[in-house]
Amino acid sequence: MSAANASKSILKGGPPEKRPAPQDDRSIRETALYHAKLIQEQKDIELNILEATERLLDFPSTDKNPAGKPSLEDASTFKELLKTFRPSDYDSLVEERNIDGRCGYALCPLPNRKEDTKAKLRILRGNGEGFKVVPKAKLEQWCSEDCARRALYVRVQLSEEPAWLRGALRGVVIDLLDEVEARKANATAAEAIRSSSASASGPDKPRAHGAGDDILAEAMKDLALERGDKRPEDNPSGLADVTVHEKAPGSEGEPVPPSLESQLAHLSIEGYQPRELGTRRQRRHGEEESDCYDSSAEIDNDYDI
Amino acid sequence: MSGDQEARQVEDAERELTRLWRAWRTVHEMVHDRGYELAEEELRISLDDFRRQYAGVDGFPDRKKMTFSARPSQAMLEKYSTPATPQNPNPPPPAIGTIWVEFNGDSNVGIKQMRTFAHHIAEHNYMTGILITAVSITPAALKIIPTVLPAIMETFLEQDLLVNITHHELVPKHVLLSKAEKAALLQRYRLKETQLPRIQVGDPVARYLGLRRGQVVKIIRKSETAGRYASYRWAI
Ligand SMILES: [Zn+2]
Repeated sequence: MSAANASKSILKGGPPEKRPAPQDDRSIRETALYHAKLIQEQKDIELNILEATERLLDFPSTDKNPAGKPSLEDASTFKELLKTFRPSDYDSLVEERNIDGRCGYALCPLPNRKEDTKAKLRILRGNGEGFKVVPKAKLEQWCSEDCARRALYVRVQLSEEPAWLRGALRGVVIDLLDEVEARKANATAAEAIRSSSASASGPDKPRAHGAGDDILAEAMKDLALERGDKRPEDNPSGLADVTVHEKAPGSEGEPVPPSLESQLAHLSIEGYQPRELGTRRQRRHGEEESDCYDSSAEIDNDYDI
Repeated sequence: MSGDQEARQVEDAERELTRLWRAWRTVHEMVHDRGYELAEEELRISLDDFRRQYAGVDGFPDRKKMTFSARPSQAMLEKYSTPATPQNPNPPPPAIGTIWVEFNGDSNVGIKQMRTFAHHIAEHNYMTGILITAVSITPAALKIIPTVLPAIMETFLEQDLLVNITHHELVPKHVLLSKAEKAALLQRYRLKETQLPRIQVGDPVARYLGLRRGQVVKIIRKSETAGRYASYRWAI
């Protein structure tokens, strides 16, 4: 080794760093430990995310279940694995699945769409009038528009904050679009049955059952809209709606005193039934909808007396 | 197919073949410069020989055939070995072994391809693997690299190997110091390694040499006034 040739430049590292004052030693050590812990945690979580991504590359476990009806096990594993994902990790998962020729939505067994063109951009007819220009790669991420909505619905629920900085609130609870829509549909159906049975028991206005159900369902949808829910068709990207956490009917835990009025139990607040509610309900229905509500409103009135 | 199209295709194939031949030459020089054993004819393969061995029926290079392995030379093994000392009379064997090189022409390289590559390395007990791709590897797939340690996976783009950067006149010669040489250097100047100037392991020359954290390279420059002078860099 020709160290004789070595210039003094190797000494450019400068004089040795000053030693910290002894009283600072402890806090410095604590800070260093804290950061070391954080770095270790970051490594662990990044490894977890990589492993989760690799598992979700081979999802779903069976191609018998379509994206809209995943197996319970797959759905819960999917949600569990995504807890520490950031949106960028999720995008990586979509990218990796696409490279593998799969729909970007991990619960979908179908291949992703292949646009038969070398052009980088596609022009699509918009929903209403007009056209939109979409990068081909974006179209090829999914098998269908439905899966695009499903996948984006999950994406907006992910936290931008790295999981190792989230503290105790490490995991986010993720809802699937299909679950939320199914719950809404259930709730609507349940209400419709309740109301229609009420109206059927009204002696004054007997109606054909089927037609009434349809009208009711429609009315309930309007009500849902009034509550601030959005119609899915208003919202093809699935980007809104995320703060809505509907409970499945019957899952409300409020204690309900046993009473003959149990038919109205769904109106009670912590077991107490406000007298006003029946009349307000009547008013609202009256303003909005056809006479089919009158009968049920009458029944509400009966109870008010 | 019209004659025009045919001519164009032949031209495309030839251009692609020449590109790959250059990348093939560079990666051989790189492996050789690190200290692995390669035969002279492997190192200086002519374009014609390359075409004969690696062109497919369509005249395009067949990347699936473009693989090779090489063993570390005795000199390289010595460079990587830890000298025995009274305190440590039986140091561990040098962490260097057979290297595996593979080209990949996929239009996307993600986790799946990277895992396949990692499996191949593990299965054959290679110490180091170099994957040369036509496109950038996805960020998620690159995260696999630290998980397979102590096996070392390196990735290069074909495009970055078309010329050998170390042959450029403005790039000074970088020489890896052995562990013994590094210890002697630090002792002579009574330095800690942390006091040396640094070189990132991601620096193009560091990547070329496969530098690992903690190693020291000697950089030899030519100077009009002083002839040759050397400086040292600690890899981080
Ligand atoms: Zn799909």
